[in-house]
Amino acid sequence: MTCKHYLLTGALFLTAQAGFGQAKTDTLKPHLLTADSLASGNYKDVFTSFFQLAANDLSGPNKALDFASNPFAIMARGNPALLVDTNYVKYSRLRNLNFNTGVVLDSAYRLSGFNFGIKYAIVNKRDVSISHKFIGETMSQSRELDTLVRHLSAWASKYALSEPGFTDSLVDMAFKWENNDTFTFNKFTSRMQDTITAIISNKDNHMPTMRKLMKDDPNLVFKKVSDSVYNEIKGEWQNKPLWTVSGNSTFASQNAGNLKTITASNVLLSTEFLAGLNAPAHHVKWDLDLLANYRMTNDSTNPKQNIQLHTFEFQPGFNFVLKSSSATNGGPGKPYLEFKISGSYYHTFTTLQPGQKADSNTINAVLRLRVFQDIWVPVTILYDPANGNVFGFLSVKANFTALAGALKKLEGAE
Amino acid sequence: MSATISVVFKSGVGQINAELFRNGASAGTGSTDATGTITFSDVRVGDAFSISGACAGTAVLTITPTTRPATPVTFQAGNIFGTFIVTAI
Repeated sequence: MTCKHYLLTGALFLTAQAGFGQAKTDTLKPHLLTADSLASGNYKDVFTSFFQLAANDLSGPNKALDFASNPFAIMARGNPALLVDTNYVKYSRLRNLNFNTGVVLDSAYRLSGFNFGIKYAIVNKRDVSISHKFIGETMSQSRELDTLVRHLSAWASKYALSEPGFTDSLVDMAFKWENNDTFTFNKFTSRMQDTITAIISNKDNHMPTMRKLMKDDPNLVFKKVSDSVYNEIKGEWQNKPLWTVSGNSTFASQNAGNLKTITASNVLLSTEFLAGLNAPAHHVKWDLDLLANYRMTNDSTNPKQNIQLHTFEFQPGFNFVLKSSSATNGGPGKPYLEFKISGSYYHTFTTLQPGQKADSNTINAVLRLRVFQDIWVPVTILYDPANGNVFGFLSVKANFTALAGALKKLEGAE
Repeated sequence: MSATISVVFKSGVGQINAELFRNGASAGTGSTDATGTITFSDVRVGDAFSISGACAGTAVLTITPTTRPATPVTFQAGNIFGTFIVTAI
């Protein structure tokens, strides 16, 4: 059974389990690239992923299976040389472009339409992969580690010819200490420990932090210290602004299964802004999330298909990362439970029906749970305080073949 | 004898600094902030290279002539550190 089959099976299972009320599903269908996912550690999975498969609105009458990717991902799949940094940087604008396409199914799982859209990150300060400044910051903050390695190299060059056996073993084990996060200092022989300790303890070598770390933890793992520096700086960069614009369109048939009658049923133009509000290492990480939508949808009172109902939505909110896996290598851990609270203000521009208000509001909540490494289940609840109505939406989103994973596979295939 | 230190960065940018040590003293430095090669013109058996840097994706480091530890070695996203002794010319 393929990954896709597992996902679809899981989606069907969740559909059977869910019992959320449904309404306004065409206009409120979750975006494939959701703001809250971008705001969290899931941001990297989503925005730099090769592919995302999403089963949206599983318990509603209009279920959708969506596929998202970006042109660079597709190109790199065919030409792995594009992943080399000199090419990778050239295509950074292309990597900020996502496209999505999908199908809409009715409650009997008959094809009733399809959708497509594009999203572009106008500002994406979170992408450390193209930033020499980020690399510079990392190296600057790792200066003591660099000093230790340089002194160790100097020591090795001094004794490489006179004591080749000891020196070879020392550099072998030092390499493991520097690059293996399970290699503790006590795995060195006592003479090696003395050699390294002497380098760190020499005050002329200017390593006060390493001296303290070694004193606090005699079994220090160099790699963990190194990773903590990198991850902390990377986490700080995830607080930087992200601003996207997108356009999505849905085409649906008047009669499910009869695609001859298919017409545009929903056009959505969006812009979204994210920015972190507190330090990534904080117990509860929270982000500001501002979303504005302009929707052109079908007027249900008009039997003829059209997109003449125009509404504007402004949705300010906050996304909270409530639970993260423990960060073994420093920096923020991987989020697995998130909660987003927001309010929506709606304004209808077109002619109102009797009794219909031009302005309305909802209170929105999204609970997101990472059930597997790359699979999230967002549950969306909308509350209309004026009418007391509650709407719920259940989705499954799988980000697969992330760039790093794809690279490994591509390299393995070479 | 000359030696080359080649690095290939993938899925992101990176930088490495290399310093050559002989008999406990620095004998030369080099650096690159993109996929490329650093060349040292005078390298002898028993010399040691100190490599430090960082990469946002992966980095594959290859040193010629032969060193201990042997190369190529692949570094994942993060800091890059290593001491390599030249064992044969």
